[in-house]
Amino acid sequence: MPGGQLMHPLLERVCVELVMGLQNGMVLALVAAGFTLILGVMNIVNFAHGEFHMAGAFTGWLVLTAIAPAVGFWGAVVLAGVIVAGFALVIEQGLFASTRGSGPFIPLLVSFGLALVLQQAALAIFGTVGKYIDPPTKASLPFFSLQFPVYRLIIMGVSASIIVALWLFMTRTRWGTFIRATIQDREMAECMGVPVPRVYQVVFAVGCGISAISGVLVAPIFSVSYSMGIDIIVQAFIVVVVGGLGSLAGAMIAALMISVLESMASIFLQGSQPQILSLLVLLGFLLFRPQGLFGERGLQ
Amino acid sequence: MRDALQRIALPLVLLVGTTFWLLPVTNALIVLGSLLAIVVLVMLAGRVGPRARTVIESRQTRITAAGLCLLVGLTLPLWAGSYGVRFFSEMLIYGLLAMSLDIMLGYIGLASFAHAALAGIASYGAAIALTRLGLSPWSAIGFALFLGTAATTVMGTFSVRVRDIYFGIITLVFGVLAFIIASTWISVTKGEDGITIQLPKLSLAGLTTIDTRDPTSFWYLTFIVVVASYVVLRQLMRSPMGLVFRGIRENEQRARYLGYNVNVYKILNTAISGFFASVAGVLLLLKNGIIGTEQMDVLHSGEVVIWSVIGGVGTLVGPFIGAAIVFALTDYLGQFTQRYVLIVGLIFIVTILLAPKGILGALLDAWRPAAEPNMDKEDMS
Repeated sequence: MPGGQLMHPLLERVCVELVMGLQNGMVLALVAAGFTLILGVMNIVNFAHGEFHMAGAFTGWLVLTAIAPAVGFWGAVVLAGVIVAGFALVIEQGLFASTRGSGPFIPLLVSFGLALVLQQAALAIFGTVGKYIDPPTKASLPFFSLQFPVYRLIIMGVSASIIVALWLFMTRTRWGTFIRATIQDREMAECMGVPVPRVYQVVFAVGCGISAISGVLVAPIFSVSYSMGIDIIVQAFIVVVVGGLGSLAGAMIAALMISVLESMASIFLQGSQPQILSLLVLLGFLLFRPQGLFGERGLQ
Repeated sequence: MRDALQRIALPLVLLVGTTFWLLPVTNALIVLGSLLAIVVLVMLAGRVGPRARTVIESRQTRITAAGLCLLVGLTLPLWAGSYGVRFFSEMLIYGLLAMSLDIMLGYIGLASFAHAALAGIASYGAAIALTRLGLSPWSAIGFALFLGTAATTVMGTFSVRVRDIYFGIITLVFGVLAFIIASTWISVTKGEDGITIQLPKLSLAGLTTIDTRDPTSFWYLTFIVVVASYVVLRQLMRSPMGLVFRGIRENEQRARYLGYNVNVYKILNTAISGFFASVAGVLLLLKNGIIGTEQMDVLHSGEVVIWSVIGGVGTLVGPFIGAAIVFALTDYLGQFTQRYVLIVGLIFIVTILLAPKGILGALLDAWRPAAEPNMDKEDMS
């Protein structure tokens, strides 16, 4: 082969983008999972979900640079998850608890206001310049003629484990059963002794905590900035609609699909143009299959 | 009272905290004091009781109020000074934008998180028509209104395909799409720099010309357009069509059973809202002389929602009042901090938790006669 090349450069690029897309998709799936869960259980369209992702990344950065650098990267991931989950618990109690029973519209507005406030707070505290977190490993694997960072593979592994853990939690534990019962029929669940207010707290804290963990995970790849919340929430919206509102499995598959698509498109398109492509996919779904891939509940 | 305080404890603490953090102590006290004054005034006004409603609803009061508004509006350039004229022109335009959102938010119960972006599309339309296509000012305005309304209608057509609470998600996605297009399609939109126009002279049927560079002329143009828009919107919302909108908001299923094609009405509602948002967009372009990607930011669309909700949706006048109050507040806060949305956003959250119907809605509720609780639901306009 000429020049020691094993593969056609375009094909090679496609392979790399495929892996990158899958990795981005796994992270997106984490955010979308929490969003869908909160939507399904609490009937809250959580506009602020992306801001918890951002809050996680900033908390991770703070832990590593100021609070406790000794815990290392993985310690920071866990700590950020726990701290943001605690913060989410306070938010749930302070903002959303009193809106229960007032229909879905008021929590929607509250979460939208919260999203703006959190984003502006991040701007006011941390400024516009992005922060960087070093990846826990800088090793890379030879991938055809390129070097592929091991860290991206680690993210895939960690994300997959979290998703499996979430699935086990939902299907094998007492609280998972409570959550599924609440999704199915809140009033009946309450009558059967399910502590619904506690379920809400658990779901909101876990959902936002996972979103925060995903924020720390991607921090070494992208810079940590105030706008990462809005960027990922738009993607998560698309994923959740395409996957079928309220369907956890649908969200996972749609996240992988959309991310791989954007990754592939970035071979031919520049800047944020791949994002337009996934918006077009969303519009296509709205026109021809508004219930999404796995939507069981009629959306009309 | 204690219940209400408990409900808003967290955002209230955050609001007080951030105000003192972002502003000097005296100014923070002024801001918080004025907010408290507004709350107290609303509560006191509510105490006056149902009698206030009969006064408010009497024909005489309405004519007086309308006359006063006209008088203030027409004489404003005489006493407001050139800064004041610009300030109030902008306030009126934002009031119109908030009113246009109210058509959706308050009258049919659909949330749009893309209204500033929709106005921005109209601004871009007019700017491109003036600079690139070389259209005459009036045809450029016509083109802009068409473009903005068409974009809104497309957005509505897609968004009605999902249930109402997801409608907002889709509009936000559309807003982001508009922002991306505005910032990446540089050959047309000039990206970050934006398009600068030469402010045109608008001729009125050969009789006279309005020089939009002159603040006073621009004030009269804005004032007349906004008042006319209000009158048209008020009549539209009182027409049989407006009643169907409200019927859908109250009970969509029943409206459907009665034979109304709910989706068509929703799209129609969105289109009307989009047309008036476009009018605001064109006025904004004529005021600033420039349109850039900043206008398309989700943050601005969020601000429009904030104005409307604080004032009280479903009343037309409420969102206008909300826009005026928040615009004045924003202007004041802007002297000290760029992060004024942090404070405004917290005020927004406190308002929703305390009075979901906004300032005007709370007043109308307090004034409603106890004997007939369901009469005349939140409609004073």
